[in-house]
Amino acid sequence: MKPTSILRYITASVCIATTLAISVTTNKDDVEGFFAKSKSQSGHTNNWAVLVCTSRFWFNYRHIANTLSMYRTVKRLGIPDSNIIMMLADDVACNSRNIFPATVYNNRGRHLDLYGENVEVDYRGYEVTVENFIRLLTGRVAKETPRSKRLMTDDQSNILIFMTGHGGEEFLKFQDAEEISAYDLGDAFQQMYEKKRYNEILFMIDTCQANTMYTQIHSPNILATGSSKLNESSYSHHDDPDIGVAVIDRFTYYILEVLEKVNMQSKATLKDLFDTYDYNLLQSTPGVRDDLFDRPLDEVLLTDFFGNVQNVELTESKEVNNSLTEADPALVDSDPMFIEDPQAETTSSLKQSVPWSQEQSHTFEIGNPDQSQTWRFVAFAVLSVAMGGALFAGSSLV
Amino acid sequence: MPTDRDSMAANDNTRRMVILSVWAVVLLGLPLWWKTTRVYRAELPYDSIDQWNQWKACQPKFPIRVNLHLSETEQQQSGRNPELSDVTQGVTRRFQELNTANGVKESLLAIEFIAGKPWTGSINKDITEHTSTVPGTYDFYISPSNVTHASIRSQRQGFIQVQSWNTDHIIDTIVETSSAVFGSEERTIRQLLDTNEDTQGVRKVHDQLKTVKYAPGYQLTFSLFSGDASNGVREWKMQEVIHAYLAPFIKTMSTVSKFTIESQIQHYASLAFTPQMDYSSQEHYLTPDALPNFINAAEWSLASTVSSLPSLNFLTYVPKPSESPLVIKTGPGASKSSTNSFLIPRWGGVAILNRDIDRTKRSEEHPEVITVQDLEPVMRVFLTQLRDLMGVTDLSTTTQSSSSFPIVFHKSLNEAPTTWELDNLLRRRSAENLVDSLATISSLARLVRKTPNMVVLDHIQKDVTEALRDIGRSCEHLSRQEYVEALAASRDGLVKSETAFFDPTMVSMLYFPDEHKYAIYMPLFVPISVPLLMSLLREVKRLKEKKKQAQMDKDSQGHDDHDIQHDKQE
Repeated sequence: MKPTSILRYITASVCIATTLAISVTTNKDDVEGFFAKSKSQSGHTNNWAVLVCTSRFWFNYRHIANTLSMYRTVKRLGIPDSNIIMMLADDVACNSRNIFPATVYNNRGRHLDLYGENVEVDYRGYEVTVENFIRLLTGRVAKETPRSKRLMTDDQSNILIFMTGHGGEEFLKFQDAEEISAYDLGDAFQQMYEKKRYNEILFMIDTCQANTMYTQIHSPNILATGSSKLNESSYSHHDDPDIGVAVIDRFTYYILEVLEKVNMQSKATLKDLFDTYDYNLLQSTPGVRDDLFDRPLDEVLLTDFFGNVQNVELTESKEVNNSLTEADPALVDSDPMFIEDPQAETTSSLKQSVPWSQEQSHTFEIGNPDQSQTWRFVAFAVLSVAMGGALFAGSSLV
Repeated sequence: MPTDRDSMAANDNTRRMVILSVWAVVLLGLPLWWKTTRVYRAELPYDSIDQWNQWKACQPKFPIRVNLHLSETEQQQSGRNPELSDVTQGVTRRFQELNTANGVKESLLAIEFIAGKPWTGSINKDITEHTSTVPGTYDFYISPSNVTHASIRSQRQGFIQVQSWNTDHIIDTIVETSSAVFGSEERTIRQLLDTNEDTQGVRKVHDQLKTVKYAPGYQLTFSLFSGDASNGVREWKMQEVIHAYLAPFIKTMSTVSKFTIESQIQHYASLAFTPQMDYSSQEHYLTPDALPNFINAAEWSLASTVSSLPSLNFLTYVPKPSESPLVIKTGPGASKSSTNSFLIPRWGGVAILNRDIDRTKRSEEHPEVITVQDLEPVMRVFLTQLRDLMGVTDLSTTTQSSSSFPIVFHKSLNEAPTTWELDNLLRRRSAENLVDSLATISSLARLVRKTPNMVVLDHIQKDVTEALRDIGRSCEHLSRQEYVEALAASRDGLVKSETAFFDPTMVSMLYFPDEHKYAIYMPLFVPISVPLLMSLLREVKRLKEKKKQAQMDKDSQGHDDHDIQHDKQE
């Protein structure tokens, strides 16, 4: 091989290697340029809120008010109803004991009716169960579940999860019927992480011994905060003598006090919020768990979780490119017949489209859970009867 | 005496039989109980899942065939005409060298260069009509010219013109063109398929930030939001515009995904804030900072509950007269956005449409109708945004500045993806689906392994097995360069793996520690087991006593006999 051609080879390959390198880096730069602003931010593109009130009955008025206040706040800050899942017993507004029918207030002053005109409760009354909550988080809902009852998040979703109710060490009671444990919660979050169902989660809980609820979370990018530590109760803030019950809890009250000053453009951070926590006001020790969370709290905007601030990209006209395309110097006049025929093209590619169906039928009934459940009952009953009989016979003999 | 003894023995026997039968029930019942109360767990194919996770079962390959056609008309003054086989071999060798230089063992996009038919050197009907309809098979037509230049036609054709008509230069040009066309794609796919454990969870391919996740179908919602009624907007010709401009795009993309389209009009849709005023140009303007809050989510109803397909929104906003014209710019005096529109990643696009009130009053019969002509620029913007959201890579933007000679990418006139872009998308989405469905299956397997209390039903096993089979099918199709079938198979795999993962029965029993089990079974088993054990112990004791008695009887037997004899003697 001639030395010149070797040289040429080398220069060409160097040129191409750099070509490749440059093409990739420029591409990266473009994208990073667009998201450079968001680099300090979380990199999410959508926001969701899951607001859960786990209590029912009139005397738990304040829990419903807590949840509705939070609902109002996130809605005001831009999270659309379609992205808010609210689980609420919803039995106080129209309770016969409510002397202000169809209203819920969170303040003695009664300036603001939280129940308003436009409240969308997604899981209502007896639908607020541990199972539904876990199903909602993990996405394992029945096929016929409507969109409004699904948490349709992806790997770029920031989720605010707010829970309030009565709880204890590592559990939270659901409507006096069942309870969710801190382990269940940790597992549910882990499964969400496995399926990339969130970018970041802010978990807030206002209940007695609330901080124990986030001890079993072990998935990354979750920030948790609670109202009181182990063996501490969380207290209500004040009551309304006319309504006759407490109308809001302390923790929620003071959080709302901060959030009320926040608007969509606000640059307030979570650190600002956490710094306002005060034992003297709350009469309990609020906790923050940030060991799973990557970003420093003073860079996390409140609107990253409570709002719906999206990164946008200005669309610029591609006229420049088009004109370049048309001004193909060498070929433009070579043959007038050579006109792009998009129609022909689409048909040609259409021919290869393969029909397919999304529907799959599951006609399997073998391992029916109900069936196995009945089997268990039957076996257990038979055994118990047999043993009871044996016991009776044995004891009479002995 | 003897009758007493007999009855006692009979009693003993009955009692023993009773105790024995009770114990028999218990001993037979225990395994039965154990078996029937065990959770049903269908066995998942863990081994093949593990194999797939390291791409051991099948390494995805994306073969590409490029037919090289050399112009034969040009008789070279310098004598020897370049041999096509030399060129083909040279290009192939160069690509191998490039790969080794980049530290890549095997190229994922296995580009194969094939010597094609020579051509006349002028683009004529023969060539334009005999285009490749097979995704992944392309034709490069090479001809001499006075300037080096490549032009990538939309129908899987590339025309390369080289300045000096010799083998080396031709090889250089082809290699550079191919790198420009396929280089970034190779990198993207490699990044996608990287199954390195450390990076898997956090890895995000940059382009994916904008692009929506793959779904078999999408719902496109076109909304017209009118600031108030005084701007006189009552109707828009969206349907016609969709037919005219969007249809080709949808048609082309139908190989990849299906689309459902709906449109709506909402009046009195006010902004959540007041735009700023630029008095010098008599324009109201929005700064880019304000755009994230543009969507008035609380009052504008954008969510659709009709289908559960992922939805994309395209929003045309007609400002009210007191706020028009409304433009996007950084400040007063700054130049305004040429398209007056912006894209929200993974959500959709927004375009602000200013209506020239004087013009509409003056010339048109129906000023309340937004015509097709008015909507055309808006639709062009939406198409551009839709391309971005769908992940159609604009090849011209990724390679523009990097080559040593101009490479021109032709676009289809209607913004529909060109065949090159479509093939690129087919390959990338297949790879994405393979990775996604594998990730889903392996996290399902992890979950099942970790939760011994979880019921795993047969249809889960069936779904997982079928998903794995679909993945395998897709991988095979890929290696045979059947991209459309590969995507279809990978889509099936994705759907099945997600069905299995999100199956409603896969919610494991809530946290159920062992103490709880003891607490449940103790009240039953303790009262039963005490008499059971006691009776057994007592029986054993009695048996022992009896044996002792028998022994003693035996010992004293002689004595007794003696006594009897003694009696007799008396």
